[in-house]
This record gives sequence, structure tokens and C-alpha cells, in this order.
Amino acid sequence: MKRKSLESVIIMVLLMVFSCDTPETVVTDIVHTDGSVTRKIEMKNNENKFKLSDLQVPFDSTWTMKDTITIKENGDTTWIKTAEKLFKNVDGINKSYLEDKGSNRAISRKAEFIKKFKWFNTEYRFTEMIDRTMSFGYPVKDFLDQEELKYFFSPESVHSEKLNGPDSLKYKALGDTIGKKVDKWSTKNMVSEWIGEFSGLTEGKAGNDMTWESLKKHEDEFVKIVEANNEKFDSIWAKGIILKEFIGDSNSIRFRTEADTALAVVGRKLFIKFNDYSVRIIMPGKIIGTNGFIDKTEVLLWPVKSDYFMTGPYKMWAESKISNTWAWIVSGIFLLFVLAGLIFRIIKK
Amino acid sequence: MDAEDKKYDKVLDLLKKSRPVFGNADVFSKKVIRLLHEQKSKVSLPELIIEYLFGWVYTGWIRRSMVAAALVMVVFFGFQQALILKRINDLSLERIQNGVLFKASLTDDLTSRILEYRLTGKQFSDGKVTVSEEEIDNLIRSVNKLQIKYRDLIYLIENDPQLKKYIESRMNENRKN
Repeated sequence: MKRKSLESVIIMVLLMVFSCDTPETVVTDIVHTDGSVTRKIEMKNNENKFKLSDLQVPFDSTWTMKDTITIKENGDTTWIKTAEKLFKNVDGINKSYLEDKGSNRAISRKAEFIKKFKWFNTEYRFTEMIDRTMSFGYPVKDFLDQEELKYFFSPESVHSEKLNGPDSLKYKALGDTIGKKVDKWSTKNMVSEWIGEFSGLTEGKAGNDMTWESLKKHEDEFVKIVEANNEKFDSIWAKGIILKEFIGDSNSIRFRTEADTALAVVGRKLFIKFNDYSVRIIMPGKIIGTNGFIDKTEVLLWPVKSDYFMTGPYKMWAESKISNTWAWIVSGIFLLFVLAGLIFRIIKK
Repeated sequence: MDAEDKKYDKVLDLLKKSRPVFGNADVFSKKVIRLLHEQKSKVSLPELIIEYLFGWVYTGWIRRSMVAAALVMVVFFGFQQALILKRINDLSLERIQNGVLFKASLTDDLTSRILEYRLTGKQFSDGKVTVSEEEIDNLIRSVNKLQIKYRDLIYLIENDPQLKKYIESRMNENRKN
């Protein structure tokens, strides 16, 4: 989906090579009314390899672990490792994220639990949040409409279901459109991030034509240059052609080091080392709000991909409520009492 | 004024002057008090309780406050329930009714455990292994013994295509039955 420059291709190949041992992972958070959370991590792999450095979500020896093997008729073996732990509160989960030594340690994750007493009901809100990786990017909603956004954030199983369903052509076209728009979004983000980093590095050294505001005015031109030279971006960047076009001859020579450094920083942010996984949340009581997907088992699901938290925090939240039976009874008695009092007064009159 | 009227006035004056004389004023007072008490005690207990419970209806500001509190409670309840219903309706639009979001190997017995959790609030517990290690060892030993015992027979079947075909057809019939 992202811009296919030489750098990205190399990184993608490297990621593919190193991600062979990455298991398919599903994290399930079972939220309890007292704020405690039972976290269950299910990892599935074709080999019995569950190296800590390859795992998407952290766990340690204090967790209860279980290993399962399934052998299909054709002899294919699947190894499933399950790790489970009851956390007293979300602080425990946040601590485990801080101590993460797995494949997704570069990103910042945290969990949040809020309980609100609202007399007739008690409402619970649980959030899993991943911080954005870019500082100057654009939100994806600026590039995709509502239908495209929904499809963009859908799990893979929904994509394949749509693509194999009766409206397969429609969804194939939708997928292609999203792909093109996401490419455009990625390029805009890359340029915007580069401007942000570069102007930060040259601050105080360069003239007024090199400030963030003045560079931002020429952002679209820069984007067009990058898009037009997509295939040979690396070579023409190395020759200094792009930089010369963008900031002029003298500046491109003077600030070459800063420009290269900024590009390297942007590359690291854009192609962050991250292995996808899925998050499931099971809330207590009746679910009343969420931004996730609900499957037929009433379980909430979010796919977690690096694109989702590139330019803005990715919040996976769910809200549920439990009726306070005692409050209903107390309120009913009070209403009857007042009503009876009024009737009594009328009779006495 | 005629004679009859004068006579009437005289009788009235006479009556006014001749007031009853209390023989014992204390006894009389006590009797009056006792009668008053008796009248009071004729009020039944439920009436007394009702009077006590609903005494507030005679005080204007308490009555108004109680009615206001009851109205606020009804409005709050209606608003809260309407809001929740709206949110649940909005939520149902996002639902994937038939979507299977997970492969079977990763879901295990979660559905039944979720149902149990929703209905009873019972916390999740690990599954129990009801087969002991000794029993598993015995099973493996039995399988090995059987394999050794029928090794010759298997060899014969494998090397005789007709026999193999016959046994396979019989096994298929058995499966169907």
C-alpha cells in the first residue's frame, strides 16, 4: 500500500524474512466490573517457535501457559501457545507494555479503564490505545470517505468474506480505490514529516525561506515531484535533484546532511518494525458503544496494523452497562411513596 | 316589652346566677382528661402509621421538594434509557451478523465461556484435564501392542491389492452403518 521506493522494498523484504517466525496472535481482554482484566494471548504458528523477540504482545513466566498441537488430515501441524494472566487493574497491563521486549516494543501502548456510577446503571469503558508514530502526518479520514474508512479498518476475514461474496466486484474496486488513496496519503505523510523534521534540524541556521511555514506552502509541489519519480526516487534523491528542486541550489548543498538525516528519520517512522495482531475485548454486561467490530459471539474485535496509528492514536474502545437492580427498586419505592402521599393528601382534604 | 318577655329575662338571670357548684374540681378535671385520652386511643395503629409516614404532605416545602425529586428521577430515567437505546441501535448497524472473525483453532471453547461469564459473572477458569498421565501412557502402550500384533496382517493386506480393496470396502460399509 505504501510507496514502493527501493528503501521500502528492501525494508519490506527484510521484514518478511524476519517475520517468518511471527505467530498469528489474538489478544483477548476480559474486563471485570472491579477493573481487573484477564488477558489471554493466543499465538498460532506452523512451527514450535515462540521466541519472545518475535511476539507481538508481551508476557512472561508469571503467566499461565498452555501448549496445544493440532494435526490436520494432510499432516499440517499447527502449534498454539496460550498465555493467560489476571491483572488486578490496567496498571499491570501498562507495566507489561513498558517492559516489552517483543517485536512491537517500538510503539507506545496503554490500556485504560473507567467506571461510572449513573444510579440506574453502572457504565464501564475499556480502551486499548496505541500512540501515533508520526508527528506531522495527516489523519487518514482526510483521504477516505466513511465507507472506505470502514473497509480500511476491517479485519482480514471481513475483506475475504466481501471479496468472495455476491458483491465481490464492488469490493475489489473499493479495495483498489482505497489502495490508491492510501498511497497518496503515505506520500503526503512522508513529505509532511520530512518538512517537520528538516525544519526542526535547520531551525536558526537557515533563512526565512526555510521555515516550516514556507516549506509547507510548497508541500504539494514536493509531493508531485516524489510521485512523478516514484520508481527512481532513491537514485534522484542521492543525486540531490529532488532537494534542489524543492529548496534551491545553495540550500540543497548547505543543508544536505540535515535533509538526509530527516529522510532517514522519516523512513524509520514510516516503516516502523511492527507485526500485526488482533485485539478482542469482552466487556461485562450489555455493550452500548464501541468502535470495533462485533462477531456473532458478541465479542469485539479490532485488527491492529501499523497504518492505523501512523498519524493519529489508534483507540480501541468499548463501553458497556450493568443495571443496578437495587437502584431500580429504591427508585420505584420512592416514586410510589410520593404518589401515595399525594393521594393521601387529596383524601384528607 | 310585654309581660312574657320580662318573665323570660327574669328566668334567664336566675339561671345565670345559679351556676353548678363543683363538689370536687380535681375529680372533674381528671375525668375530662381521661375522656380525652380515651377518644385519642380510638385511632387505629395503621392510621397512626399513615399519619406518621405522610406527615410531610402537610408541610408545603417538603411536599414540593418530594414531588420535584420524583419528577427529576422520572425524567433522568427516561433520558438515560432513551440514550442507551439509541446507542444500542447505532451499534447494531455496525454489527457483523454472519461474519466469522476467527479461525476455529483460535476460538476453542470461548463462546460457551463468554456465555457463562455474561449470565453468571463467573470469572474465567482454566480447562480441566480429566485424563491422567498414567491413562495416556496405558493408551500409548496398548496402541503399540496392537500395532506389533497386527503387523503381519497389515503387511499381508498392503501386499495384496484385492484383499486391500475388499477390506477398504468393508470398512466403508461399517462406517456408513
